[in-house]
Amino acid sequence: MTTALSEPTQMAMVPRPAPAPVAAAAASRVAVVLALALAAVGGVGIREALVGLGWISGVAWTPPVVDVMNGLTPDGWMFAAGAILGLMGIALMVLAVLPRRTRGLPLSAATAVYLDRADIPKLADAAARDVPGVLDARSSASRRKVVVRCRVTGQTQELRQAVADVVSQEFADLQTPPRVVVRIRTESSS
Amino acid sequence: MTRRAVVFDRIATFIAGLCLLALGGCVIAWQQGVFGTGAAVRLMFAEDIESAWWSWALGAGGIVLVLLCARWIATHRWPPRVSRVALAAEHDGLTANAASVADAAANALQDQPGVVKARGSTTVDRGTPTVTLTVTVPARGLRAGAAVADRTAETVAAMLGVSVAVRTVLRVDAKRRHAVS
Repeated sequence: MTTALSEPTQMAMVPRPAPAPVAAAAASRVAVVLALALAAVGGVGIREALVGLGWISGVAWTPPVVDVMNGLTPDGWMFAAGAILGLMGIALMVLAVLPRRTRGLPLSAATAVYLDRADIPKLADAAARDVPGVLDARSSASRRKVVVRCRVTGQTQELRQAVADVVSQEFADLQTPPRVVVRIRTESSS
Repeated sequence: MTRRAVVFDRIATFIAGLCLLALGGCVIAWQQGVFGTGAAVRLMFAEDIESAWWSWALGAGGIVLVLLCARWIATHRWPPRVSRVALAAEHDGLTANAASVADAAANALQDQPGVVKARGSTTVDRGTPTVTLTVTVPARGLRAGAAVADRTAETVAAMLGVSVAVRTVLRVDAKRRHAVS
């Protein structure tokens, strides 16, 4: 069964705005790794049990590990190992409380419309390439800034301003437009 | 993923970090002679590994651990889908298929000149049934795409009511720079 969506303008109403989509929490990625590691430990336990009961053939791994651990005395390498463990612990605790990153930047629109954050450089590239005199443009974006690197011919200063204007205009519909930085490299005409 | 699953992940990650930090601290303190100077590690279960019950305990513990971890990993699936939503009070008792409306909205969007492709999905986001329309527009067609998305979202709201949240996520197709009508 299919549903057709016509546009009955007399019915149009402002929808309840949905919040910006968010990326998975860093803690969730760590959790998957932890779960896989614990599952592997469980799998080793099952394997050891099967070997111990004689249901499968093989050499048990537990006794040698217990032999190494039992009777361990303080040694120089343990300081470094302890420091590494401590740093890993601090890193995990920080990751556990990191907020989820929003994946969308809100646009000034009547409904909840977001631009995918990853597409900011594509917009800047396309806008910059439409400026006469720009041969190529490559952009990178951080949370608040877009850096547009252009290869150009002609007057550098004028082109820099023209690219900055066009790219800024492209982001004008964002509720919080990023700062635009233009870097120019002049190509010598042969 | 549900909110509860994310909270569980955060708590588990924090506890794992706390355990690693405590273990690292203990190892350094022991190595520096803060406690148990020169003492050797004595594992409490070292004698037990030869016992008959050890293999059974190990096997049972392993199975429980694997099952719990499988359940934990399973919580990281896609967000819960919504199929039917209750309509507003004037349509008391009636429900609508939100997934079909989202699909229809995506189809309607796809027919618009400034849209490269579109798809719709319905999930529960932060406790609210949510229709998400993901719309790909040409690189120089952001404004037109937002306008089309506005109109479609308003129509979706008219069909489903305000109990369902609606959002449009615009993606950019870098290969297409301008809309072709």
